[in-house]
Amino acid sequence: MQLKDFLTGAAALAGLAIVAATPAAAQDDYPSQPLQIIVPFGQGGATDQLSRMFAPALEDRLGTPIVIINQPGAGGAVGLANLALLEPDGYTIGVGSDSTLAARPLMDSSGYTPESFDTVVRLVDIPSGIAVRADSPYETLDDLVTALQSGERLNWSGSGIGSGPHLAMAVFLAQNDLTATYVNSNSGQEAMVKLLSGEVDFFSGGGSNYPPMIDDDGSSDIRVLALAAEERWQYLPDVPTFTEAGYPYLRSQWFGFVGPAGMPQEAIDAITEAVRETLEAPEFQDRLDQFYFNPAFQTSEEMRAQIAEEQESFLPILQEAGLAE
Amino acid sequence: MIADLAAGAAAIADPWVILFVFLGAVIGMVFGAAPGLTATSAIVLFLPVTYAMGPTTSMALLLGIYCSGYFAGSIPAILLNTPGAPGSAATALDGYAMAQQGYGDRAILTAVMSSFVGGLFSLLLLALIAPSLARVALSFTSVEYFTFALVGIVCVAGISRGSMIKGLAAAFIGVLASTVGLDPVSGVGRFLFGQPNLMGGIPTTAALIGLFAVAQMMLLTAKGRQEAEVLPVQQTTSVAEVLKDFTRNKFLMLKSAVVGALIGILPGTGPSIASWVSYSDALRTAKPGDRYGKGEPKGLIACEVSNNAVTGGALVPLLTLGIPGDPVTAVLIGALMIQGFETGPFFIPHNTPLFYSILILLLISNFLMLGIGIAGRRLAAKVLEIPHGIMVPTILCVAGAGAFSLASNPFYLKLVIIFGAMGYLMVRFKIPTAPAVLGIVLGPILEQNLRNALTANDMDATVFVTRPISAVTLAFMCLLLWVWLKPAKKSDDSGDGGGSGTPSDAELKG
Repeated sequence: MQLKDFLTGAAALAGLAIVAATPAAAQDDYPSQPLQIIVPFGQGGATDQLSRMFAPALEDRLGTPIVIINQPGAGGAVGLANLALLEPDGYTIGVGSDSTLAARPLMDSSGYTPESFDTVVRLVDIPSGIAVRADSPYETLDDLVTALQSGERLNWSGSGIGSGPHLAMAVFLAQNDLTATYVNSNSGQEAMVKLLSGEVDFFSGGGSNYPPMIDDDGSSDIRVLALAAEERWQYLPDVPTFTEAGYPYLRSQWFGFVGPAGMPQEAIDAITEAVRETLEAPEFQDRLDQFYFNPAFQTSEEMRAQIAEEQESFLPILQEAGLAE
Repeated sequence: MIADLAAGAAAIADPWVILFVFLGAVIGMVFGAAPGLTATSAIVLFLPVTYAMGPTTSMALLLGIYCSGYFAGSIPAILLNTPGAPGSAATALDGYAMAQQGYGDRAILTAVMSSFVGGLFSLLLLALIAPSLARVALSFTSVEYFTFALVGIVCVAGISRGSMIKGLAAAFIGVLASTVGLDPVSGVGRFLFGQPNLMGGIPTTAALIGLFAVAQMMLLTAKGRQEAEVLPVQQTTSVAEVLKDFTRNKFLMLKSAVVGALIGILPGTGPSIASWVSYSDALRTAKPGDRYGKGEPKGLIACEVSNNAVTGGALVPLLTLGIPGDPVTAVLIGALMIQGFETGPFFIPHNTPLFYSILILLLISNFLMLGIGIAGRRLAAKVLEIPHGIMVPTILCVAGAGAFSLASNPFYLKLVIIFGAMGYLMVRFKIPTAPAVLGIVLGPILEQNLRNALTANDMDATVFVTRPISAVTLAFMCLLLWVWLKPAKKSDDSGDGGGSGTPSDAELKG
């Protein structure tokens, strides 16, 4: 009776075990069918908003519908690992970033390497930045560095281990021979809560974290010490660059399209051209402003080189932290 | 504040929002009334539908389901002695006894009106304390979050006194499942079995669909159709008569509402725990002549006020700390995230109009629950007659679609099947499934905050007792353990609780 009950129950499950199959497609003039963009983050996040901003503009220029598929998990690694397994037909691409394409593959169990993908085109970037609470004794980046050099024990946080903000600060600390204790958070906002509660002394995060924290009259609970860009950032013109603050350092979090390795060159070229035109359009700049993104076009080859360069600077940091071999 | 309130109200003054809160109330009523389906499973199943909606519309649908779903479980509890949702298990004791004596209509009216009172009370509490608590919450660190989550796990253990070991076992099955994926602190993969899809861990919603919806459908299939007992012809009752009961029991109602709302605030608890605590408290203070367990309306009032007072209470930690107060609010975190809102101390200050919209929607949902409950109480009973041959495959298809759409990932279907089979076995072996889900939710909160708290304080474990809020929380936890463990010895003397009066595993499923 027990067994029979179990079998009947199990039979009910069979109704669930239906997995959708993706139809294979014939190749002629690109694009001849809809383009899928895999967003390896959930709806509503920065990566999703970026993709949804690009989709209509690219639809116009490529002349084909674009479908956005959100496949979140493990800070972008799940969606990209699944993307790497797909047919490189040129009709499925995904959104990668500095941390997911350069850092994650160096770490334990990512399910892909940068070579699993063809780089297509880089889209935008956001400079890294460092902030403290408004009542913090550290008025400038120099104050903070001096305190760390004199052996003061400080905690800091960023949006998760192996994320862009975490790596950006870890690289900066390592380059200047500084040590501070990293306290983990699951998102930039959680790290901001830790900064305000006093649990951590400084915060590392992309520039877009800061403008919403500053009231119209310029008052804020936080003080942004510096941004790691070549010139002052248009959205926070009063904040010095790291170089101006005396510490030459450049680091941005960037986003770009990748596809499964072996994509037709024709597809890469067509998407690259459409992105270039989109980023050059003045009305598109207004849309980027809403989310504090900078246009940061790079071709497939430049983006590949960028990944290699960042891997070189991330590797010692990750080894130091015991995250890579 | 007035401007925010106006903005919140304006967001609701949209026919679609009103339509969806109404739809939500109807769906909640149907799911709550159908045995095996709960408000939680309704919210899980309808979550994917909200992806394309705006935040207000999405909240309208889900909060509508939430309020009436928590009430509607009492309809089959009263008419069939089969609680539609675990939170209504205590309701069945007096409710079914009343129906057997021909007072079923009065029992349902009492239940819906009590639920309304409980819901309104908790809404008031939410409106009053949430904004100020959000400001206080900004001073909480990993130390405090860890102790809050610990209280959650203790609550699960403390309340399942009928089978405390099994309750704890279930909670730890959940905690174990939550360790799958990338280690949140060091980024190293754990229990991946070479499957990149597991890097993100086991999504709570997939586990929830498996453990609740799929497991229940398997049970229904295995059980076949149960014949309902024939009840005597039911007398109809007027609203005024029930109101008279209420005025006689003002104190009991207030007490039950406070208990329900406070239990809602505690992370990891839910309506089932609230209703049992209120019911056992009502028993303890019973007067001679009260017929608890044999059809005493006071028993119904205590349970129903309390289990709906959970709704507003459970939203307090969700909206201020980002920690869910009960299983439904655990799903609401996902719903808000899909809309681009992160729950936590910034939620109310940054999204004040949405917060007011949520308050107003809760108010509307409570009124709709009252209206639909009174008007449709006889119709709702018809849901019980849907043949299993139609219900089971329909629910399974919807559940599968829901699991897939979480992340457009077919892998999650496999997870749902695994958790469905696991949930079925757990129920068969009388291990409650709700603590397992809470374990999955609370596990990462416990782990990360413990590790962060120690890292940030040089591995000094005394911070948990030297920080005042954390120390008070730990003291409160000890008090809870004492209160819950003490009556366990006494419960043999108060034998008027009715046949199935001891909280066993069934009521923990809410």
